[in-house]
Formats: sequence, C-alpha cells, structure tokens
Amino acid sequence: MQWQEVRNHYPNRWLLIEAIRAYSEDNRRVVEDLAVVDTFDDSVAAMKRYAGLHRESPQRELYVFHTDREALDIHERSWLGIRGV
Amino acid sequence: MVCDIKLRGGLPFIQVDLIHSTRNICIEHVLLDTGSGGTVFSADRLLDLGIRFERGDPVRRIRGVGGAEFVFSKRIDRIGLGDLEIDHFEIEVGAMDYGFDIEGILGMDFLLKVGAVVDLKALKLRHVMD
Repeated sequence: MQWQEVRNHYPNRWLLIEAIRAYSEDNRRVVEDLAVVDTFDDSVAAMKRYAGLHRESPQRELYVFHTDREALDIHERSWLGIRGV
Repeated sequence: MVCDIKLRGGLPFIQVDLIHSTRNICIEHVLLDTGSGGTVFSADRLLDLGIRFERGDPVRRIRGVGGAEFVFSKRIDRIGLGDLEIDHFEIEVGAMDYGFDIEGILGMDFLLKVGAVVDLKALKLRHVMD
C-alpha cells in the first residue's frame, strides 16, 4: 500500500508499518510500498511492539507513524560503532 | 569537567543526567561511541521524563554494519555529564534492544560540541569547552 491509502484506511491512529519496497537517496529513505502490521491508540504501545518485533526479526524494516502525518519523511544516517559488534 | 569512564566488555561507558520538564533521571549505562554521529537514548527510560513519540517528531533510520533501526528525535531541556550541562540538546530516541545492558549512546554530536578529550589511560572524559 501507499502511505496515502493507509492514511485513509486508518484515520487518527498510531501504526506499526513494514516497508515492503524502499530505497535510499540523498540521506533519505523512500518507502514505495508498505504493509500495516498493527494499529495502536498510543505511541508507547506501538514502540513496545516495534521493539519486540525488531528483536525477533531484525531484517524487517519497521517504523512507527501516526496517520496524521502527511508524508513518510525519514532521514537516514550511518552508525558504524556498536552495530558491528 | 571530569567524568569517569567505566569499561564493560572492553567498551567505554559513562553516566549521563537528563532533565526535561522539571523531571530528571540518571542514565548509567551510556556507551561513549565515536562511531555514532548522533546521541541516542532508550525510549523506555525516557518515559520517566514524560518523553514519548509524538505525531510530528522527526523520524530517522539509522544504518549500521549489523542492521538498521528507526528512531525519533527530541530536543531535551538539559543533558549533563558531571558538572558539564548543555541545554536544548537534540537527542534520538529508540528501542535500543540489543540484548545487553545499554540505555544510551553518547555520539560525536555531543563530543564535538564540548570538545571532549577521552583519556583512556586515566579512564576519564574531560572537555576543553570555554
């Protein structure tokens, strides 16, 4: 799904989403296709679910967003320290 | 400023005080990481400061050798190390669930700002900021 479709389906909700197709460009992450994993009333519950799923499946590209947000504006930066341990 | 560095598993850890909206917490297990551009803290710990992900917060994806993860960013009222305090410092907040005891990462943004000197002989962090 596209973000705008997701916004229409889930107005005023916190979502845990998974990027199905995405690419990086100019220090930004562009999500072309995504799936909704779960919906929440508040961001704290959504973050806890994110943490659990990220631990189980670190290769999945997951995000928490509120559907009030007009666009998925995701900046990217590198981190070479502990992630390599 | 002089702040003690504690080695755990061969990695340097320090203690950081965070103040936000009149609340304050002490975060004990913060990795001193010159390989990280930004400074990150555990979302769970920051709940004690009333900090939570709000709708318009900037979102980032952090890419490392071992994978990628998502964080949101906040401007915290005050961050302190020993007698050094910086107001309105931008931090990132993430799940930080790495399977071992780490609650924060002090990165190059902070270390550059204070002109940090990492003394690994004495295991102290000093700064040369005026």
